[in-house]
Amino acid sequence: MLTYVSRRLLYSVPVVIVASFLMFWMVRETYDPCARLRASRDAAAVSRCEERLRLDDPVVTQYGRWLGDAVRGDLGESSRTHEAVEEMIPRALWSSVQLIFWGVLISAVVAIALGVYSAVRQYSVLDYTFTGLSFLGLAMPPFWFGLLAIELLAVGPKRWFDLDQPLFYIVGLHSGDSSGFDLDYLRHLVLPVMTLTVQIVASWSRFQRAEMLDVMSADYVRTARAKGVPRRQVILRHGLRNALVPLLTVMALDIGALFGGVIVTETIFSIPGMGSLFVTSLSDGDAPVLAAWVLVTASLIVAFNLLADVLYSVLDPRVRLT
Amino acid sequence: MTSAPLADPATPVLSVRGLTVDLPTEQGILRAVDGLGFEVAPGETLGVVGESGSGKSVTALAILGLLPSSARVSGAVELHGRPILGASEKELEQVRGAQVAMIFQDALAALNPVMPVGTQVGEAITVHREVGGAELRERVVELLDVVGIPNPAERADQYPHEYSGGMRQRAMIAMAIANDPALLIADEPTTALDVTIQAQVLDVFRRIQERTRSSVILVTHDLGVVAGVADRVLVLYAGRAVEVAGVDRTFYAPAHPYTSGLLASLPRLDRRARRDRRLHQIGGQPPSPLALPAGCAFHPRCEHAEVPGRCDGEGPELREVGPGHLSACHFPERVPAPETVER
Repeated sequence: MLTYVSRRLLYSVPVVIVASFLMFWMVRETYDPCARLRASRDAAAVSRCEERLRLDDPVVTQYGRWLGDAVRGDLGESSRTHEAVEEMIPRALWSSVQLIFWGVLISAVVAIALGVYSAVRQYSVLDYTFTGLSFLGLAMPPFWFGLLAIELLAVGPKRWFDLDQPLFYIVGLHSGDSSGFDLDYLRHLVLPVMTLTVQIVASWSRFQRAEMLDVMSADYVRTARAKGVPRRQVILRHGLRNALVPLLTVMALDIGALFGGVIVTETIFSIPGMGSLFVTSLSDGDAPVLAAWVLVTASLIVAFNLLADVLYSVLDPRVRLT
Repeated sequence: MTSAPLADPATPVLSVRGLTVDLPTEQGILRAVDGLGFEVAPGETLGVVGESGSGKSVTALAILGLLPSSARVSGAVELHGRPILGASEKELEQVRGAQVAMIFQDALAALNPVMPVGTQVGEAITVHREVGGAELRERVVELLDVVGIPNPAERADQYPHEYSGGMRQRAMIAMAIANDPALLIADEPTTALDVTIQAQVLDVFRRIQERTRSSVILVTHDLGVVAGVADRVLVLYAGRAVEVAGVDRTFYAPAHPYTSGLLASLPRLDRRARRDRRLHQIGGQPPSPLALPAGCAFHPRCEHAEVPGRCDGEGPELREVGPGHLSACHFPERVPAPETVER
């Protein structure tokens, strides 16, 4: 297992490097960081800018220099704000982590509950209801759901009931002066987490339902019933325990992808996370930030993929990692 | 018919009357078992024989109420004179595993892959009795030892995939006898095993039965297994009982052409087949339960059928043709002794 993990980590190094290089290169090719100075027709300023960023060097050399600094913990500075990238990324990551943590936690609980219920009561009215809702959830674009939620749960009620403040906030994770885990934080979290959760629950609960149906018709579930194990225990100890193995793997994979993928939700609710950082950096051609962004998100995806494999082998004794 | 205790030897352990099972399918309602009746005496082993789809396994599952909820089951099933068909799920949970235990066919699929074998055996005990800790562990190891699993203490912590096929089946048996049930239902317990392992498992089976004096229903399509283990044989065809007899009469004086056909189809080591002679086979296919032939369901495949006549006109009832020997054939006297079939 340890050799497996170390080998996988080793393999992932070139993947991450290539990904960040491609990003660095494409941004350099398509965006001129000195464009604004060029418009001023001040040739000296332009060449100063080009010299400072050493844009005359081949892209590979530029990337090599960036990577060399990066492994020493210096991710360069944003060409837009001149802030150190190694300070921007953790801050953005922390916002995303909060969103993803709550989103995943709630999604997991709800999806498992819905999936198990729908499988155990297959073709019941509620099963059909959940099926319909999850198709709706999958079909509804998050930007639309987010706007709908803002209108119906935040802006609407404030107008209808003439409130001083909306019930739920729609900008950021905290109001100006507050921080930490408090009511203000929760009022900020509700809508973005809900927007994120709707999409995740829709797919995870479908998956869990299918797995659970599969498992509940397995021979060993019948064996458990033949032993006289009460129904609830059959469902939980034998059914759910087995059905969770593939779901947890899918969850780990999805969580990895979320770190770079909550762009829409973060943008709608102005949460300064990894998604928003990507969008602003991309529109400004901020190559150092984007390369670092890819470095971090690719690493996280690789890490969660690895976690999925390890989880599988831990949860299913038949699987051996070699 | 009172709910008399075990002590009365006249009371059958299990009595099944008019058992009918309808399974809804996409093509229509499938009658898997049709008016089946039989009894199992204390300590007796009843072999239930038939082709795939003859209703053997469905019968076994119906007794314990383990069929999917879409199945329509009617008739009467009594355990020690107490009705268990249609009993509540709670009552059935107390019967299952405690008074009637089941052994399933494919032990790899029938054991939970992510639970150590010892835990699964232990669960069979703890759902019926409050035992815990060291005592439970001791009992589990003892059970694994009884069924002949080497190093039982070590093996108890292993998972099913770490067991060999024969050992998995032994573990299934250990699980089934955990509460000394009055009746064991074994659904094709040796089908998935090599012949040598089959023999070992059957041997375990026999020893267990001597020890616990349980009654056994042995569902199988393997007549060799039946000959070795059963006291009486129930032959099923298309969901109906076609012959019931003691094991000797079944093999030496069958009174139903289907039974004699099955026996004649057995390859035999003691009689070298001539090269130009093919192995006997029962012609035709088993009928679809959705479209059973009129009259006797076996008549299209029967060499002795009177068609047109009684065989495609009226369904034969099960009736006595000898002491303790029942046959559902209009012309049981026409059924040849198995020795003469091949000539």
